[in-house]
Amino acid sequence: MPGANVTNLAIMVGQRLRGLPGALAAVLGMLMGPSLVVIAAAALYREFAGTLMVRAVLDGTALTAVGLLVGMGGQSLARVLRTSARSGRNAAWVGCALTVVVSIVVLVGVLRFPTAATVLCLAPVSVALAFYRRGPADGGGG
Amino acid sequence: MTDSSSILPALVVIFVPLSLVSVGGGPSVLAEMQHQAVVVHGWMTEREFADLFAISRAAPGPGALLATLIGWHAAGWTGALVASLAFFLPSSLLVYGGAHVWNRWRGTDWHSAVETGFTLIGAGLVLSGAWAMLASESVGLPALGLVLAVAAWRLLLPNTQPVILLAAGAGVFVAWRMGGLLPP
Repeated sequence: MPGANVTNLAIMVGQRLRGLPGALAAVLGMLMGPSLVVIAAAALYREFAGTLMVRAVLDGTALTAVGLLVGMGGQSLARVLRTSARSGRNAAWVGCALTVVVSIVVLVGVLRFPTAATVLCLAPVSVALAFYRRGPADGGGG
Repeated sequence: MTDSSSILPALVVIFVPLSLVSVGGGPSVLAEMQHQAVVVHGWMTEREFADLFAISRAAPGPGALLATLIGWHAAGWTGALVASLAFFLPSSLLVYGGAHVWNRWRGTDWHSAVETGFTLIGAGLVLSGAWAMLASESVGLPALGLVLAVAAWRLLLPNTQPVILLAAGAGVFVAWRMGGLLPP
């Protein structure tokens, strides 16, 4: 499912408990307060962006956050490959999975293709590959 | 610089499609957000984008509030509101309408294929975002080392709270730079 994970979770819980009003209340509650906080932080940043210390804190935070993203992406990939290994998937599937991930990084990250179009083109390929590796062990996984 | 009458529609056009393809959460559309805000529309510099990214990650709430910040930076409070609606509403509607239907199919072959397929897409998108952020800055070797160390920590000890890692990483970096080990 697309969208921020906590927001989606809030919607599903709110929906289950109180239907549409519940989902609405949950998503607004999840976003209103934090969005005000984040805007206040950004307004403060505008005031103090010039100082060396603030500069260092922001650069350090951005780099660490990028590190967290790399870890997140790596973890998702590792999870897919690990479950594949447990159920005895072949090397061809591992190659396919890596190819999908690398293609996206090259297209979206390096060449800056539009994200939505790239996802629309590659998602069917990725899902089809995932589907066929589930077939009989010696099926036609070219 | 464009006036706000053209910024608001632009925010909608950018964020609605991104909302619908943000598989795996907000950071998956980071590369495109940066490209649109910095290169296509020139609302901010690369550095300002990196700063807003840092703020959105460190503040409480979903990191996807970066969309709100981009709107705010480009067109004030109206921009913040429009960007938030454009980015959070479409995916929310999809989840509201589709989540229980989707969960009913759990356990079937194609459900798990779709899940695996999109997990791979999400992983690729998140890594693209990281790539875009690193490529845009002149990142030195020590900084790259920090990124990789944090990534390795996240992989090996996934239960560490992100906020703690964020504070630790930023602390190390500040110490390096203030200690003169890194150029400002």
